[in-house]
Amino acid sequence: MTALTRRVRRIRGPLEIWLVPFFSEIGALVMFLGRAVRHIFKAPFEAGELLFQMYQVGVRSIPIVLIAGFFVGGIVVIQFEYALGLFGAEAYLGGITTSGLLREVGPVLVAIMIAGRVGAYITAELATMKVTEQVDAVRCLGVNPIQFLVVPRFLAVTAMIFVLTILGLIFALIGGALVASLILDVNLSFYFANIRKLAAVWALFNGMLKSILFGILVATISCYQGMKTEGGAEAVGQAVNVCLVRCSIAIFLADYIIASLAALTFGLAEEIIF
Amino acid sequence: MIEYRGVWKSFGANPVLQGIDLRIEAGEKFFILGQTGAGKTVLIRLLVGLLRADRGEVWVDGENVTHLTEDEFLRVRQKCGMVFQFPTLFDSLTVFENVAFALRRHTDLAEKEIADRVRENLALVHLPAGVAAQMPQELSYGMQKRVGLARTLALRPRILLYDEPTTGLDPFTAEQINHLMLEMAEKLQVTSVVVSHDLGSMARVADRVALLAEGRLVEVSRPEEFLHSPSPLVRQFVHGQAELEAAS
Repeated sequence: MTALTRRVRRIRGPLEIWLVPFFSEIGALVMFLGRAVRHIFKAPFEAGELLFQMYQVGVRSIPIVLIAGFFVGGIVVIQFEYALGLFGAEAYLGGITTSGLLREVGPVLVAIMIAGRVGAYITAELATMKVTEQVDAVRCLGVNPIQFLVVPRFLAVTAMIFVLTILGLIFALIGGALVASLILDVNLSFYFANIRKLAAVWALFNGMLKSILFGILVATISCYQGMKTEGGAEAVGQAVNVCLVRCSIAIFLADYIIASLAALTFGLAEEIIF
Repeated sequence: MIEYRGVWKSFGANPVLQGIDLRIEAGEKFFILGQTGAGKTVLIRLLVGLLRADRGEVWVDGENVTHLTEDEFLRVRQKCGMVFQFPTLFDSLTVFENVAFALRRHTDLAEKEIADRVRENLALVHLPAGVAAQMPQELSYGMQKRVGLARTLALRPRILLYDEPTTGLDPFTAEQINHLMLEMAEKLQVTSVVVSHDLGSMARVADRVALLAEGRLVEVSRPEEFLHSPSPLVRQFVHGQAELEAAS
């Protein structure tokens, strides 16, 4: 046995255990996303189901997103005020807080909350339908389950994460400004003065782009985990667990990649667009 | 007409069907018997594309459905309705919405006509129109099974596949289901394929019966011939079950 063969055999074990299943899952997820997107454009469009899911995902999540957004805005202001105060840079409080909320905190916070509240719900619902043969029943009634079950949830989650991010951001900015004014005694004209400079339209665009991407990730992962579940009650629980872990990792990983790309291209884009 | 031509199906290393050849004529009430895990459900799932054969061909109504795509199968499933072992009703929808489900997606009927068809289908399975507004979980198990049948009947399929229709039911409800199967076959002129291990149900309903054992059809005959078959596997199935029933 040559040294090369021995080395290949040593590497093959971990490759087969970790990498092959990892890339198989990524491939399956991408193919699932492709099927969902392809079926969006196929008739009949389940408009009623879409509206119902938008209500479930969006309207019922509004209170928690608004409350969390308001307090997160306040927390971020308190933390930044302390740090900026050390350098005598309180004048930048409004700008830095708004920029941070628009680019990072807002989209990530809303996506994580929706993954926990709605993603888990969707996975549990679809997984239960799968293990109780309701998905097979849909197929046997001549209806494509991707079209009837996945497409409305996919569109609802993607659209409503975007809308909820906007609402959450508005309340985060209100919370931040109120805490700055009422508790930290910061002059609001000071607070708003540097927002335009530090939190340009580019920051808002960045945040919105992220919220759409996070929506697609949460929607795809939660529907995929639900639809691939086999077994019984235990499998449903595991599917929900896996959905939450994968959604969280996917959101943070995507956020990191976009933040890195944005940092690289920010200066150039600002020059070109603004 | 349904036909299996040399059908093989395995799950991993476990061969469940090993070269099944079977022809079921239009209008027949055909029972497929066998022990749990013999592959009976696999046989009917092949007809509607919920499973695919590894080898051989499956024909439904003169059409080879073996290699149809998922989208192509949607059309076959409209003429080949399946009644599952468990009711599999959509628990987020009312009984009305469950029965109207396929009508709303495959017909151009107005809401009033759909409501009439739902009432008609509920009446067909002897359920009062009043249950239409209820949620499935508010009904008894036997009623849920009947709603499942009504939902399957909505599109008036020409073939009805029953998966263990009487399993887990008390004798009275089981007899009601037997009666319904006979009634549907007579009133709607459908072909019925019933997967079961209920000999009583078979004797009451079947025109012909097959025993699936060890991946093969060991006997295909009329019920009275089947019950007196000299085949050791059939005798084991019939008498083993009779002894068990006597003991219980």
